[in-house]
Amino acid sequence: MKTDEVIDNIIEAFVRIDEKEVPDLVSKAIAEGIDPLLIVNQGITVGLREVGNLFANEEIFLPELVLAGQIATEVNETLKSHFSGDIVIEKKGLVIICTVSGDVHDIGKNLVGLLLSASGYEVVDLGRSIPTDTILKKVKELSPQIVGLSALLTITMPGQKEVIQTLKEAGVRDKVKILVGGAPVTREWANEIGADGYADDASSAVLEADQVLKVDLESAISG
Amino acid sequence: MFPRIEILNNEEMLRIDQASRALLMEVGTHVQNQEALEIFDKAGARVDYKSQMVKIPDHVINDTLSKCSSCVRLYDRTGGPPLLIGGDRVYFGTVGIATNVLDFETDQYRQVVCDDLRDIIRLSDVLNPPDFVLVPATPTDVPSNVVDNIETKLLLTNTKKHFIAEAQSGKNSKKNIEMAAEVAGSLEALQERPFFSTLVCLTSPLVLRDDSIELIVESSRLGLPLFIESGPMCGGTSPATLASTLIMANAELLSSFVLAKSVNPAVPLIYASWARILDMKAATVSHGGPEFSLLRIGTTQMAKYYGLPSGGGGILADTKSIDVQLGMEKLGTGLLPALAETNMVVGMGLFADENAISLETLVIDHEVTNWIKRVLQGIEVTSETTDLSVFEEVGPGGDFVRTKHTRDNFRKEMFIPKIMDRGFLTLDKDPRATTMRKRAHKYFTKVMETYSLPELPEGIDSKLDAIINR
Repeated sequence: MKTDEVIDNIIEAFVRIDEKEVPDLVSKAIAEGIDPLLIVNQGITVGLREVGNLFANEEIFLPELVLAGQIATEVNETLKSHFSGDIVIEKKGLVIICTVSGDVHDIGKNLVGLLLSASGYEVVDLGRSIPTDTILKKVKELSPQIVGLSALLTITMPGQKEVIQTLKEAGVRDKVKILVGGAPVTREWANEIGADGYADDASSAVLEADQVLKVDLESAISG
Repeated sequence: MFPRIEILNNEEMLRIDQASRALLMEVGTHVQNQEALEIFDKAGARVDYKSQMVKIPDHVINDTLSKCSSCVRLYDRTGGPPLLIGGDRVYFGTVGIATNVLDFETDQYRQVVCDDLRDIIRLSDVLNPPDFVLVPATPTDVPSNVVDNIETKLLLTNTKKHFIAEAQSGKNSKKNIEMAAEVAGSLEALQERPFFSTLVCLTSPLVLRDDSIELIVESSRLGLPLFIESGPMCGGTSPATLASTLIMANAELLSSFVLAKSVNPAVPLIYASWARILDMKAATVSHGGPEFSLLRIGTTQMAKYYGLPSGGGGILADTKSIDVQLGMEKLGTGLLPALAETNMVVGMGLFADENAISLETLVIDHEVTNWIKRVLQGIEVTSETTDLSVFEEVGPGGDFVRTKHTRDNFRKEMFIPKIMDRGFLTLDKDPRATTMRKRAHKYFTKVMETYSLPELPEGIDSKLDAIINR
């Protein structure tokens, strides 16, 4: 089978969100000697984008989108072990995410993490209701490119502002890009508190992350 | 169990039954057709040929009811299994005497033309519900003496679903049947699987008009299904109590059933009603008020009292705009009859006091009826739906979004709206940005991509035209 055909089959199974067939096809592709990097960049990434479109068009829904994210993450993990020593998957960047102090609503944040990681970001999920000090400590320790802060309630939204303020005072604000999200959050709020970006759902969070890091999507896909 | 409602108890229904029978004997029915008078006479009714008054004794009514089936089968053109009309099944359909359409482009009312009717029939074909298509509008750009036949031609050539046709006379009803037989291949093929029924609207109080009689007799002879509706107006063409209006609606239906079953015991009959009130300010009928829903539940319960398949108006609205009142009236008059198990609820698309239709209201009613259908399913409590293993799998503090259990169940358990506005406020900050009407229009464009024409015999168009123009 031609490489193109193998990749097309992987995309097709991925768009069907077939949790058995995608890993099977990927294993076969590796056995046939197809470059794992090609599978990620021209197969899984393309499939994930297509799945994002299906979600936007209301042909699939949240539980299926989550599964697609899980499949992509698992396949990426499998592929890692097949890279020869000196080749590594270029991660788009390191993102740490959490819900801010006082907010325990984390389904949205989890979804953002899943999609970011499926789209080639390394994601460290700090969890929910994370104190501002802990976030600062982690920023210093891990030096992420992006910090994603989620708040579902209007009463916890000021926590996002507080984190930005604290990072500023500690002198690390300029070293990271900050994305904010959550039901009541608007772009106006993001601008007001001095965040770098904002997204209203998980799929646009990925686009926003790419945007603030100026990741060139086309070149990432062509590998 | 499924959620269901009743408003009359057995004693109350017995009273209405007794009063209806008394009405048919003590007051009688004006039967404006010589042949029908003879049919009633032969069936055992007391007939005064001079005054054309017919009095129907109890035993004739009992005899008629004994010939009725609890279930009418409505076929379609796909060759699939028929809709079974009766019992606890609830289906939704269009309806139409509307001569106006609310044009989306201009936002103005204008008269319905054949192209509008064609578009509405095609939209009815792709949406589910409607489960069947009662002719959904009356075109104004064709001669009125054949408008019913032109409607039937448009139904035959644009939908695969079962449809209910109207006819203004026995002659035009014959033409409808002839056209349908032409599409079916033969009259016998049509009789075997009748893919259309005929609508009969009775006249209150207590009149069997010549044209209605012709329709009843014509279809009954051939054994083709009849959707017979009574429509007394409480305070206008029936007394000003809802109970008396039920008596009137019931008596009129029973007399028409006697006529049909006397012609042919095999004719399938559906007991339907538009019993309603006369609005005492507007001096016209109201179909969106609480009385309409109460009367529909009442007529449905009377149908069930006799073990008959039921139907009638519902999902209706008096409002002249696609507005809050529309949503309120449509849901109220759709949900309540559905909860009473009205087998055929007709009204999808219609609004503005029966005078207007639009593509958008039909799409909105598609959303409303699917919302109602989900309610009718109730909450299923079984060992599968209460399985503990998924609780154990997720444990305290976890989320269920990513479980296989959720993927396997959410589409079954949850109504997935097509046009309702949901989600966070941040997605749509301008409250006027996307109204339901705009979303309905967008969905219309999308859903029509799936439309396909019904299969038709070669050269059918000119054959149908020849029948119409004869």
